[in-house]
Amino acid sequence: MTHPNRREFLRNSLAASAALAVGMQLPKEAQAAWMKDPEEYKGITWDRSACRFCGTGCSILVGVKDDKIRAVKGDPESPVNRGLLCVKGYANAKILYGEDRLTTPLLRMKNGKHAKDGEFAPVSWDQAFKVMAEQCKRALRQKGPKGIALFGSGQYTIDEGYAAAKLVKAGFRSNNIEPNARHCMASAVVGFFQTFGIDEPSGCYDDIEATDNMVLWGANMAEMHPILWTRAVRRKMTAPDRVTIVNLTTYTNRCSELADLEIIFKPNTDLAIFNYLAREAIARGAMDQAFVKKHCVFSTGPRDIGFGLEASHPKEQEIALSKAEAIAWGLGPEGEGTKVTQKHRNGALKHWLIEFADFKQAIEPYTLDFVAQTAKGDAGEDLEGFKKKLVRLADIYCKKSSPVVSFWTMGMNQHVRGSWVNEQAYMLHLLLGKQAKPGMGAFSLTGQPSACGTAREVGTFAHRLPADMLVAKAPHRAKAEEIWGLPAGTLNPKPGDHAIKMMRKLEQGEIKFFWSQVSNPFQDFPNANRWFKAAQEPDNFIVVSDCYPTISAKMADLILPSAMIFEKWGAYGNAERRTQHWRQMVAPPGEAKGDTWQFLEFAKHFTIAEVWGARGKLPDVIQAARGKGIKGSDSLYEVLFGRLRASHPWSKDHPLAEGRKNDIAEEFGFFVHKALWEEYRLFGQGHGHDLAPFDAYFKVPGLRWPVVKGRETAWRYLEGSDPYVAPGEGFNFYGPALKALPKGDLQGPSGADKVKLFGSKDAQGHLRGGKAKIFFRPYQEPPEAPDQEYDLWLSTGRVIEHWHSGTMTRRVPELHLAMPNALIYMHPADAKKRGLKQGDVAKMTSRRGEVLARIETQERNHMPRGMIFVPWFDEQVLINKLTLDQTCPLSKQTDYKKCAVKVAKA
Amino acid sequence: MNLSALLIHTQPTKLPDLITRIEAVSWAKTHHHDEQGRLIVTVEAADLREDQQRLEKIQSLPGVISAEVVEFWPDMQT
Repeated sequence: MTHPNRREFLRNSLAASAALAVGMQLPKEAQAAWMKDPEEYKGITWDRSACRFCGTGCSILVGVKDDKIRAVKGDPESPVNRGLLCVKGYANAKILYGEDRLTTPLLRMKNGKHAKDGEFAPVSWDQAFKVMAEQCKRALRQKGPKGIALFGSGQYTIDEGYAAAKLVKAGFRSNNIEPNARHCMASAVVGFFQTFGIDEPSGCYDDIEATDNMVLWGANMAEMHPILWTRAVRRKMTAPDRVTIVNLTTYTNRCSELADLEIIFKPNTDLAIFNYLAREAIARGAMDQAFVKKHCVFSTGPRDIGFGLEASHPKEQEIALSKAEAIAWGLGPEGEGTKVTQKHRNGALKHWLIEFADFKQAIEPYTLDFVAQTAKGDAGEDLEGFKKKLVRLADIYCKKSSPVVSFWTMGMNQHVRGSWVNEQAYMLHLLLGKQAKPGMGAFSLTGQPSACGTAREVGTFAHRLPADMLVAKAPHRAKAEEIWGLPAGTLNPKPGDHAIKMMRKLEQGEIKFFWSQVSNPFQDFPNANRWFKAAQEPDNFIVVSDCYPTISAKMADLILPSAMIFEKWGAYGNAERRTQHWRQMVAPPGEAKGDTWQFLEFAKHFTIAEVWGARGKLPDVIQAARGKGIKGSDSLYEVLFGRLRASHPWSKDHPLAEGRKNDIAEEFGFFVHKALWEEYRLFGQGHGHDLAPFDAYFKVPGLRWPVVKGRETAWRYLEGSDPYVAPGEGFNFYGPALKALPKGDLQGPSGADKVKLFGSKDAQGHLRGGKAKIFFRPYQEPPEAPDQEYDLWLSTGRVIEHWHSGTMTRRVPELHLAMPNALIYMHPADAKKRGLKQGDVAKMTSRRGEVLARIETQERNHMPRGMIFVPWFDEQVLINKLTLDQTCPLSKQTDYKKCAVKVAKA
Repeated sequence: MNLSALLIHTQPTKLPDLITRIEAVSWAKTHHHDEQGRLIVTVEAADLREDQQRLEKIQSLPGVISAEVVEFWPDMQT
């Protein structure tokens, strides 16, 4: 027991620290209390970092003493969290210290050799890499660059993602690299590219304080982005009569507690609601004619695109339209049963220009009556009441000059029409002229801390290169080859396999070497039973780099122990384009090493001659490499990374060091992180993706790109805020991609001639007068919906206590106790009908698998009848055994939010 | 014992009443406040679960507009 005086002293000292952090004036004696640190805090060193968890990107101060994290606090200078933390923020102090941290490489072995059916045994890093390189070379020999795959993460630090992309694309000449962000953000990315021609939001978090209306579309901000929610709550509380919050959702979640309006809709009918709102905007004369005329065009694309399932699935061949779909597609109720052949499964991204008259005609069927009947998601709610809510929603959007922000996350991204519904959000805001202005805009939030910074900006996808460039485009490859010092023709022009396809290829034996990092794919992927079997195929070699023994690690042949966030230097990029860097603060345990270290070391096991020879359509570039001073006997490490050594030396008295560790720099003899950053930022310089020099980030809690002449950008495309918009333009949607389209009508393009969607190009090649696209996209039902046998919708997601698959948060005993196991959130009447009650164990079954969990009918999430929600963090309740590997055909992002299941007493 | 410091926002007129309510619970203590209705409170808890429950309890008190964590000192010797 602490002496009462000491206890009081501790509390006073903490209170004084907190008060100073939030800028409160303190009496002198209280300040004096703060000066006297408690014993535990004597000699503590504080350093800034981004939070390890969600896409909000809070800045935190981490307190270290004796090589251990002792405390954490919100960074009072951070414009994001302004000195505050959420519950997961607390956990930063503890996630490093779970009892089962992996501290040494582990290889499945029998009789001293690798064996698929062997037991895990500790090996040295050198042994681990030798076996791994042998297996990688075998896969490359047998299948070429397509035979290997690296599955990474939106939680990779930026340098890790960059080193990964460089190693796989430039080193192995493979494009089989994907992040778990494919399951998280891909639909948002497609929405941005198709609409604006460039990735990531126009707005920023300052929109929260600048707006009067916040509409959540499938985003449980209260649990998933608590700090942003706090800002929303504060905005509401400071002007309760002026500010309105709307929660559009498929079940009642915590956001509904504060929302002025809750709209429970049926899965996938958000597509119909957006069209209703557009119809209202036009009918009420709320369309901003001048803005639309000057800055926008209208567009649409094919509808017969399938659902991202395998070609053999019946719904990938043909569907018969339901009555609602027939109406929504403009065929009227008599169109019910019309057969549609899925002709554009491989052409889903195609789109063309239409006239405003076409657009207006297309949205005409989305009347209040039709949409209310189609979309009402709670059987217990009466239709007239639901209609009133839709009208009120239209009032909010359509009110002249009234600022409104639409936020969304996984509800709209993990969606079989995720790209469409993302486009629709911009469609509505652009029509109303409420986009890219303070307090106005459709704003895609991210789930992971660096889904933007790493997965998207670095481009750790099968089709991308850094800074929005694409492997399929020759000038983009040429630029990457130039920056990377590669002979022309080194980079592979053929996009690799997207995430779901990677697993299918592993199953088919087409991919034989699979390396996962900062992710838990065998828990995360839908239809999990299939991939378990694939991993166990004798010919497949699975490597998992992780900090804790996850399900995926247990599936592996080789486990590599990874260093965690504060055990290495790194950077993350959040949902408002803010990049934040941090220094290494503590040493990793045992032999654990950062992922960048793993890439650099692994690259030493390959020579140029082994990987740059002719292969299929890929030319031999070994000879050409000589011209760049590269010999066939040089290692991949030397060519890709070692060459950066000279320009970025490291020493302990480097001005950025400030006494901090830099293990990787010590080991490799140069400032690895700075070298990678400075090379990486060459990709984005001068075309809308400008990042600041490395050193600049250590002075501030992050900077929002584009950072031009030392100045960050709050609102993109807006004159006065975005340096890429010329004086007098007002707005310029200058994203360069997909800026020439053929003309057509609702049925299809009418010719091949393309119209350019900008006025001119300036001397630097920047677009002037760039236009955004307003898309028409129809309502479409998902391929699997409840029926007689599988009579419930299943939606999956997260809970506040846990991060993703629980790898870190389930090691924090307190978070684990708070939410030890995933529950089945269910309406009490649905439970009763099945003879179930609160706390009972029930069996959930889909066409793909079954799992057991307990019923929850009272707390937290309140489900409408006919739908259950199950979080996916729990490896004991592997809900992804039930989910379907359906994706948005444009983005290839999985829809985890809807499939059909049944529930019965276990 | 975990110690956390919370920043609470309330209407300035409701401050005295709120301080009384918070002082009535054994695990919370009020500290500095200002004329904008901001109040610093420290909370003791055995573990993170309790931290969360207690935070929620404070958030649900009448007059609390918002309550968030500013600083967190886990595992203080007691």
